[in-house]
Amino acid sequence: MTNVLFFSVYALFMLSVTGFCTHALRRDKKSFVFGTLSSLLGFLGLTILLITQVLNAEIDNLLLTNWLMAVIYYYTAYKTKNRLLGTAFMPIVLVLMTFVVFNDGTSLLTKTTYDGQFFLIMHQALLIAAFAIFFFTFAQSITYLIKLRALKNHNEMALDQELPSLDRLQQVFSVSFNRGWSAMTVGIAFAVIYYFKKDSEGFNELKVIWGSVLWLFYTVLFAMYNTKKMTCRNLARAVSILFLAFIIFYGCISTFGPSEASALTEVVK
Amino acid sequence: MTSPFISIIGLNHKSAPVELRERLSFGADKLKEILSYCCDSLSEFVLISTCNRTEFIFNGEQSILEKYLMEVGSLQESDFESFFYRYNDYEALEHLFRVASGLDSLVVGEVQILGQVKSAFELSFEQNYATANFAHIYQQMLKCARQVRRDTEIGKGSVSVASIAVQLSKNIFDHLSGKKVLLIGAGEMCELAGVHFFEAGVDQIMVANRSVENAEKLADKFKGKAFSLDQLEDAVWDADIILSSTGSPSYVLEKDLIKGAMSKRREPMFLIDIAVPRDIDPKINDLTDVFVYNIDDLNKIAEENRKKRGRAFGRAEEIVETKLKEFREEQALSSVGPLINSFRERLHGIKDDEQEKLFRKLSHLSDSDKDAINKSLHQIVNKLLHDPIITLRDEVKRDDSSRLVKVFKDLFNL
Repeated sequence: MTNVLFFSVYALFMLSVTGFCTHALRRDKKSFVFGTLSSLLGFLGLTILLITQVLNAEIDNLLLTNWLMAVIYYYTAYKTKNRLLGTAFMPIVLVLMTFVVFNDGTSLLTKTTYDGQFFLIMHQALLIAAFAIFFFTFAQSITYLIKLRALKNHNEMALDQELPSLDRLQQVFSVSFNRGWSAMTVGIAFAVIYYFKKDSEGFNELKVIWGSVLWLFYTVLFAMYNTKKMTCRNLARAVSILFLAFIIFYGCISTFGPSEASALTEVVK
Repeated sequence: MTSPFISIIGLNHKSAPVELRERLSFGADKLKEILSYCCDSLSEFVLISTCNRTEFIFNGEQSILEKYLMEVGSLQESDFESFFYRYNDYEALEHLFRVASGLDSLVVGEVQILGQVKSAFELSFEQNYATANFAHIYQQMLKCARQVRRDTEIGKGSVSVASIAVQLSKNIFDHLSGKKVLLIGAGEMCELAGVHFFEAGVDQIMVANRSVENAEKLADKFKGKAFSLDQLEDAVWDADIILSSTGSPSYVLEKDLIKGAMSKRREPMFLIDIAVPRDIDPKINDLTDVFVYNIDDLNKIAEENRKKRGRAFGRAEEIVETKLKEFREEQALSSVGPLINSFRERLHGIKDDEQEKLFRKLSHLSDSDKDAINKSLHQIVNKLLHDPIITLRDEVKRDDSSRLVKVFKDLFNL
């Protein structure tokens, strides 16, 4: 049942990507409506999937991240009237769902069993939020760069009705970037506390290292941007590169890395 | 011959030169004067007077209105043939729908005309110069104009340089409130752009000009600040949007000046150069978060928008045609409504009379039998009525039905 639901959600998101991409190329309203409806149906399916997982006392972090990203996406797209955001955002959802498939064959990804340890739960919740915001920031950076390029090249005619003002895109981008960093930093702080309490039991070292490297880069960007040593344009470019590096690395370790089936908990996702 | 249910006499930018349009441009205060001149000759009357058109929409005698126009506009009779258009009935209605939808405007698809037509009608309703007949036309006209605007791109995209400048600014800045605009130059183009920015709600308009006196004059219109060109640097550092239109043979704004201003801010800066030769160094566009548009860029956008509106024109015409057809059908149906009612009453009356006679003869019938017979006869009459009524309605919708209506009346003695 859950597998059928999972693949239905996957298919709906795939249809949604097709709709949004067609809309970006042709700028026709129907494709946008099709993309939005498919994504909403996919989101509904994803919600039901997560509810069934919660009822079974287990939850997939990656799916939860996806769900949270979708919530942020709908809220922002509605508030900012950004019609191209879905084109940049939905493929990320699809990529993350692909990781879910390849990790465990046709079944859902490794489950996290909540053992009631406060620090671990806080760490996971905050990192899920941080990654959802970070992925969303990437989608936002893409639309920001598209708008910037269109305005610089005096070619905004094609896009002016699809995207909000540059100012608004910049605001949303900076807010999500800063909030993502805050959530990740606090989430990592909880992990450090848990690590000392539990003596590193249950940690996937490869992911811990990668998570730390990612956080380090993120911090450098955060510091440079907030001290006005980096422009919004350069930050958007850096975030895009950082995201791609993350996806490639995460994809590699999820697909070719050591199995995590025996691990009790998963810390960095 | 029946008198038209609506007539229009008027002139516009296509039919008459500006000198004549000026002479026949009326304010709302003229309505009373016109009507008292025309005495009881006009039962309903609306006056539309804009810079590009003066139109009289009325129900009544046309000649007296023409006489009035000849007097106030010092016109010859031949002028009516040369510069005026006259429409009656559905032709007038089509013209009105096209005007309200912006299809007859100088700038096709402009939005203001609908507001102006609406105000003209509303004023006539308030003063009781227009009543039920025009109220219905007014509602249909609004529906048509709104559908044209909603379903086509006729009104999308600005076509004047000043409004494109404002539109582009909104593409960069989310809100223009809180933004400061610097106009370099105090000429007509700067003034026009200033009006557009002022109406868009910018926080402050600054004017920098070689002659501080002229700068002050223009700045006063927007309650803004005036600067001389020597103080330009201070004004630039403060501005979010800069529009330049001077006669200077060299660049007024150099890259270093804008670079300095940008070092202190994170928000973008928008520069519009509508001067020829150019006032703003195009290399400034290379700076991060600075956007420079010149007159060619703005003209290109205007041309694109004009093309877009042109493409929507055909579709808009189709909508007007459909709405007219609907109106015509509705009018026709309402005109045969009383005829259909009397036809129905006549046949049911015959049925009731005959039924009564029958029941008198067959006095042994029980109430339930009588009820069954009544229902059956009622259905027979309804079935007999059905086809002629449907045919009449269809024919009436299709074309002029006066002959058919006469035949129908004669056939059934209505």
